Amino acid sequence: MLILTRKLGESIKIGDDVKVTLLDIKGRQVRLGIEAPIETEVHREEIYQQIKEENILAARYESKDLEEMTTIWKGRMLGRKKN
Amino acid sequence: MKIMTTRFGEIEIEENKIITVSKGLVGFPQRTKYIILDHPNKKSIPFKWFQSADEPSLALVIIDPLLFKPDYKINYKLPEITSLGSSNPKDFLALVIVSILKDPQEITANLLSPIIININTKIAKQIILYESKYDIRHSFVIKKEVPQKTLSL
Repeated sequence: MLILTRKLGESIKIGDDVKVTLLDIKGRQVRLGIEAPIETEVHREEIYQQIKEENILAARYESKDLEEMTTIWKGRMLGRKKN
Repeated sequence: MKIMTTRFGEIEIEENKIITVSKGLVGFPQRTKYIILDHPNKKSIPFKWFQSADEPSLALVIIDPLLFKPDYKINYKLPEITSLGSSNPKDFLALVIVSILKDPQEITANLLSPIIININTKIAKQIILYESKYDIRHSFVIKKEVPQKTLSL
């Protein structure tokens, strides 16, 4: 891993078209400004990872799971009508 | 054209209904072609399959979030969306991925990361609504234990 020290307001350049600027430091939080082309995806890593795991979980469902969802969903709809 | 699916065998689909998720779904970057399928003999239910057209085993359950969360809002001016060719909500369909949890049995939807489809071009993207407060597991149906008496009615 390349490790660089930067001061407030300073930037790093990654390749020709990505620039990351250190905008603010508050205690244990830093604010970064990222300039990148629209096709370059920028993500908060832990959230991206959670979504990836949720997608992988959701991809393992079988027909019977969808049928179970439908049964639960219909029960809910009936419950609503009663109220 | 015909595609192969693990859950439903070989099925015939209309080519113009294929949705291109250019960068793939999160976690599945290689799979870019999808089709929305009704569950066999269950056309009128809210749950559909988002079936990969090139990987038979890859399919996720999806739902229109407005069916259980009418106030669900997406900012269509986000660059991730405008890069799909429009910023007009009328040009898009938003779908969310569904999970089912046990104990207690509940159905959740990933409202944080919807699949946004440009209905004119059929180009789509799974975006992440970082600026929203939506959950990855938004619980929208929880199965309540129904007393035996009520069941017999």
